[in-house]
Amino acid sequence: MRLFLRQLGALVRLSFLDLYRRKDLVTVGALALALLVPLAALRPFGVAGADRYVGEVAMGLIWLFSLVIAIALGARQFPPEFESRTIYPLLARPVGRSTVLLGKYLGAFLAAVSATALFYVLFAVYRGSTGSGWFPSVLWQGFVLHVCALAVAVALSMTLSLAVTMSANLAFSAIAVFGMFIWGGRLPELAVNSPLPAKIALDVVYAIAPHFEFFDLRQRIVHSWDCVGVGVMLVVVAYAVLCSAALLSIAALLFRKRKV
Amino acid sequence: MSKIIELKDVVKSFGGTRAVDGLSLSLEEGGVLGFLGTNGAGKTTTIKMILGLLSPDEGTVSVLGGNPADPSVRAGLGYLPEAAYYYPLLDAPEVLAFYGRMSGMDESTIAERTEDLLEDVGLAHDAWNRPLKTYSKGMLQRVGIAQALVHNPKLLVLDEPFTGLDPLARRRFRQLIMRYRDAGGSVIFSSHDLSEAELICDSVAILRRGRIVFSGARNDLAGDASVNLERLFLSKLAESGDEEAKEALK
Amino acid sequence: MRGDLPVVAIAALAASAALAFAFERIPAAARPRTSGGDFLEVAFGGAREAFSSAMVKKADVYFHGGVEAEERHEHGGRGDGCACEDCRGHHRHGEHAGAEAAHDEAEHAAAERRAMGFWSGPYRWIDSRIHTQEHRHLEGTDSIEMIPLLWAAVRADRSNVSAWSEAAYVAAGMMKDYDLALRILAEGIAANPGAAELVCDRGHVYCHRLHDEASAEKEFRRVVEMTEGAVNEKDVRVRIDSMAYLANFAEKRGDADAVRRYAEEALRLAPDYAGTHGLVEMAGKAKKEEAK
Repeated sequence: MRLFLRQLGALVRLSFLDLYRRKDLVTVGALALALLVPLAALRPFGVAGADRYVGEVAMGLIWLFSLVIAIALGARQFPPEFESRTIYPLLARPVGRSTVLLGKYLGAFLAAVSATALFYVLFAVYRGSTGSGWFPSVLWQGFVLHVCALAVAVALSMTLSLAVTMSANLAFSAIAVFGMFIWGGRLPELAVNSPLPAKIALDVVYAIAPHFEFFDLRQRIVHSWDCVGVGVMLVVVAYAVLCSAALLSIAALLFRKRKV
Repeated sequence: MSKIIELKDVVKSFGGTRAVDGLSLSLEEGGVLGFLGTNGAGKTTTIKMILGLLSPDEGTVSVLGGNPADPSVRAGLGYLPEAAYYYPLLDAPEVLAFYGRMSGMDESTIAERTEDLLEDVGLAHDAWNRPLKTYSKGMLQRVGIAQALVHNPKLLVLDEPFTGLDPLARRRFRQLIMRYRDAGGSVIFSSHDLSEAELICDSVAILRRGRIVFSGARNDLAGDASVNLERLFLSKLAESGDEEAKEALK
Repeated sequence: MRGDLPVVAIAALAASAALAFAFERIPAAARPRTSGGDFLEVAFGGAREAFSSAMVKKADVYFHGGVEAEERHEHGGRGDGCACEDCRGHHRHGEHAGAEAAHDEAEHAAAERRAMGFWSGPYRWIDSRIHTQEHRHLEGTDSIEMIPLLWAAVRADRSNVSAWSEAAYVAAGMMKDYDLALRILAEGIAANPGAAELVCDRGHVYCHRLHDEASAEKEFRRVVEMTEGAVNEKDVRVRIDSMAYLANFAEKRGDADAVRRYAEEALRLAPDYAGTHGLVEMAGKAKKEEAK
């Protein structure tokens, strides 16, 4: 157990170093500031005091950047190891493939969560400074569900990284994640109005694709609605766990079969 | 002396091609085995089976008394791959720490070993805290050697260990191997650099088309330790029917 | 070569700046022409209008607490300038019941979704509970949250008259900031000199909010001048609504003839319009008063 935990810790640490030393966060932060500061400084019709639109744009950016980071982190856990041949000295260690998989997954996931937590803290500070409450419960709840989304996104891109090329993985992951995030809830409507082959395809996608829109509490956070019930939270968290586990099982199978 | 590596009648195929065809090989404890062969002879496949990365289709592979597919057996293995580009954003001590942790070492031991090893492999001090993406090929090779040794393995598996090393570095590395062997470690290395292999190995296995064409102590080959290994290599290949080797010997 | 890059970059920037200044000196007649107006219109064309419409819809979403409006719940077209207290003045006279019914229908649909069991549709169950199904209305000073969106709508497309009107309604009817409403309308009218409904809206602000009937009358008279000979439905309705106010002022002065004239014209223009009915009723009352 000690060895297992030490190995997991080493792999997690590797992902953190990868994220924070690439300075992607700095770029993302600069971009966000460049967008949000002028937006917050606006005086539409000379009127000050509206901040919900800033909150909405900020939450939109948080989701966009965090999902991009999650997909990128998941996508680059394995391919660089194979390309640079570091997979060999890694697997030559007293470590099983499933431990490597789990460690890399946890590393990518926790690194993505840390970046997202930072964004949420900054968001909370902004909202608190404008008098909308420092850390309302709905924001905490939104963060928890956001973490669930990251878990699934990392699992998806990591699984795909073991099956397709990096560029195909990034494209497909982005389409799957953002597509479901934006249109996932509307698929049944689209299916009803579509010809049969498309209807079947849409129904299948609706049934099996991960529903990232379930984790999106932006509406409640931005417009100060109440929290979601505990039962609903538990169901959504369980859904995220199941999705992630299913994807990681596929990843484990692919990794086991992968020739090194 | 116990056998550190023992392969018996090992067969491994990929599709319709037999990469390793009935190979039997062994290495005694404390020995240094030079694993030689032309390109595509099956050396890499054999090394991967020794490391537990591949399982044989037939035959048995025993490393350190166990099946190398078992992670606990690999705790005593150190591996230097050919031309690996280690984690570019990490510096040398961080790379060693990572591999040390993956081998189950504790932090204090890692810290002790890191400095000593980096000195032993001759990595310049001013490079220690630079990211690996700024390293030359030779510097990366030194880091590779260090990560293979960081956890004090009983068996070293080296794939083209002299690549990228200047003559001084090669000498340093040869001395490192010798010290390692004198301390009880065993080495199997694959190399095309026969002049280097000649200086350090005490037994040789020559592979051609997945089969061993010669295996034994280097001194046994011609009864004379000064005979050029390259000639020995070519002559054994020629004996097994390699036309190119025959031409080269003319 | 790498060391030369900053020099090359600076030289390129300087050359671009010089070209830009030189371009400025070319007479306007000699410059390439397009059919558009300002830069944004030329660069983005119809996308600006689409963006402007989207911002107006977004303001509606904000009004409903972030809940997307159901299709059946969409308000009727603008044009009457009604400063309705209950439903943001979107509705024509007499359509309040319809709007309330649409509200009820949306609430009913939302309640149905909430009542749905988990096992009859786990995904829909989750979706209905994560994403708010009820809606509420922004009220009072909270209405300020809609202002930036409407501002963006009119900045993107200055000819989006309904966006100007809506912004003025939010300012006057919801935020009770009448100065802001007048500023918005002044800017909107300057950008759209032919937009009678904006002038009508200004009249409403003077009349209902500031209780300045003299200024209101001026605005409504201006609307009547602007809509002389109007044939399209929207302008006709604005005209009739303005005439209704003028008739009201005339009635207070005891000028029954004026009331009658307005009612006759309204009957000629749009006999079925609710505003016409109101005018006719007013004319009847004025006639009775005169008879007394």
